[in-house]
Amino acid sequence: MDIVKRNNVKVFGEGSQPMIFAHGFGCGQHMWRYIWPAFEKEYKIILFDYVGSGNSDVTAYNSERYSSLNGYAQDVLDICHQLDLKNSVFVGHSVSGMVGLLASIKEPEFFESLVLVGPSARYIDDKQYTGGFQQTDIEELLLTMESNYIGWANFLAPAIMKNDERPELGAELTESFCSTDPVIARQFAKVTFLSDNRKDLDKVKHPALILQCSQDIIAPVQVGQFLHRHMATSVYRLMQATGHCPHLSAPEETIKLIKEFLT
Amino acid sequence: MIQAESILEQLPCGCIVFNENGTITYANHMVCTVLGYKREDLLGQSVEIMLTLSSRIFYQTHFFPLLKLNEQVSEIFLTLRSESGRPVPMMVNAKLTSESAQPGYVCVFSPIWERQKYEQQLLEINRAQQKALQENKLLIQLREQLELNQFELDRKISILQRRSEEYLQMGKVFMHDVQEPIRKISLFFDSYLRTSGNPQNANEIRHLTVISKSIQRLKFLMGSLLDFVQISSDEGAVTLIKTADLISQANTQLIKENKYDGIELILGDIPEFEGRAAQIKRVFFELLKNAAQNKDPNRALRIAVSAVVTEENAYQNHLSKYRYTDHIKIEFNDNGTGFDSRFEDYVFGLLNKLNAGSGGPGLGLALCRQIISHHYGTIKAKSIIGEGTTVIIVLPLRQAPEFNIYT
Repeated sequence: MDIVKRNNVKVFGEGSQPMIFAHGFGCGQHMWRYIWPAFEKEYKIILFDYVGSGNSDVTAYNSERYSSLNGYAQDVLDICHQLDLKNSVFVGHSVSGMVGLLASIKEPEFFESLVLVGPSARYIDDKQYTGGFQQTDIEELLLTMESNYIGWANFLAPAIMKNDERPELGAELTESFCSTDPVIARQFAKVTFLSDNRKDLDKVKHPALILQCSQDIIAPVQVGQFLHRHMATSVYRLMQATGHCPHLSAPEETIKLIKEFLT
Repeated sequence: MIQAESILEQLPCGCIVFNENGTITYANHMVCTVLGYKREDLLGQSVEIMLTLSSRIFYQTHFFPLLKLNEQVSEIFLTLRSESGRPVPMMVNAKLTSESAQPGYVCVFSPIWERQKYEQQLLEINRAQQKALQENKLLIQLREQLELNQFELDRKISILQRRSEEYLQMGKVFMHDVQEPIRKISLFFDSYLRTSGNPQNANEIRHLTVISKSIQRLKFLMGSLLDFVQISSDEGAVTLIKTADLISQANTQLIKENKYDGIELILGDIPEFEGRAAQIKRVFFELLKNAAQNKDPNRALRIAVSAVVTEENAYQNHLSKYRYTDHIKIEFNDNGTGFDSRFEDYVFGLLNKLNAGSGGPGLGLALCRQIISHHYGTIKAKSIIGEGTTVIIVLPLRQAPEFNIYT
């Protein structure tokens, strides 16, 4: 199995310490395009798409494996094995926060620290716990996604992006943008929004940065605070950025906070 | 210009403008009418105020990233939320505008009540059809796979049965057929030594010593191999293992039998798991013994044992099968001499040993591996010369398959 091809892995940068960027539910590695340029001088940048997302090899999709976040964590571990990575900085957006957390518990020596951008341990409310959603919200989301499959071609349309400063990445950036297969996207949504990783938080041994956005509907402030309370090794930063994608809407602030954490 | 603005207000579709932060800076009359808002309720608010909860997720995970990276989106279906909470199905187009000083996004909405009903019907039919097709495809696939698996399994069972018989037979051979001749040689050799008086010739003395040592070695090896063959044939009942207690017992046994002393044992919080207590205790005993035999002479031996529960794939051999179940990962970390990481696999081989001075036959880790596989687990070692060795055991928390295969 060619992992590099399977996960559309890109390796570049002038540093030796690996910095792995893992995208969340919805899109692919393009999401990080405003962030990695700030780190490529000092780190070895690793970009990839989970199987079933972006430009990964969709034929490698196994619905049993990817019906659990552990299957996605295995993607990360496979890449670490393949590239023989040690002491990596793992930067995960949204659900990738928990994916990276699981991977770091399974094979600690691959990682040095974790940067969790808008993470959540569980999206659905539960007794004393506020996740932000009810089961019915998630079911409605699946319907919304389904309704958009009619116009799904929008998400497959070439993403036209200016990329004059990095011509070697230009070709890649004009390929498809989002989750390519409706069935896979639906399963990823289910796995993401029905996951519950609260029990795994206290197993984390690595330093972790929690980047919490203001007014994030997907991962509300209470969730970020919950994570911080249950992860002894964590640092909590409340961002000025709003929404769920600070790496797109507020790249400067995101970069600044990651740099502060890493030095 | 005034006329243009008035047209904008009268457009038969909703139109809003929002900035980079998602704050609404303009909303036309139609948006306000359809959603039942006053204009001042919308201006300065986040665009998410107009969306149902699920549409907000879709907005954050698909709509906004696409708009940001592609600078426009078209024909997106979103459910808007009216002031009273009523869901309103909308077709949405949006585009980056550079008209004003700050970059903003112009967004138009058309309610699609009737079209929505039609689409819903289409989707339902499509869903039902897809489901039927998928189930059918899955069933055909599963039937083929089952047939193939049964065939493979049948073949493997035949081979395994034969092997297992041979293995037991080999045990018997060790027990009687080989041990007996060795015992006789040893007996008659001793009696020969007693009756033949003291040999004078130096050469003769040397030869007799070699024979005597070889007999001892053979006896020792026989005993060890017998041990290896018998360990997993002793089934024992599966019980809940109190890990910390078993490790402490193994340590006490080690101190008693081998006079190793001064091991500083640091036991972390170790969850219970299912296993055959006698066998698991033997694993702990062998690991502690190994650490004691490979102690660094320059420092007191410290062994830290920690554990964590993770979900691992219960299938170990089947490449396309995944079933994540709870496993316990136990780490034995010592500060001994360590060894070259090239030998991390070698040390688990039968009669393989790195430390010639330890006196053992090279059986301990092979035995551990046999017991751990017998419990459907894995064992591996990581070592750094001069720093120490970590043995990592991963075992399922429950021995019986805990999952319902129909879920």
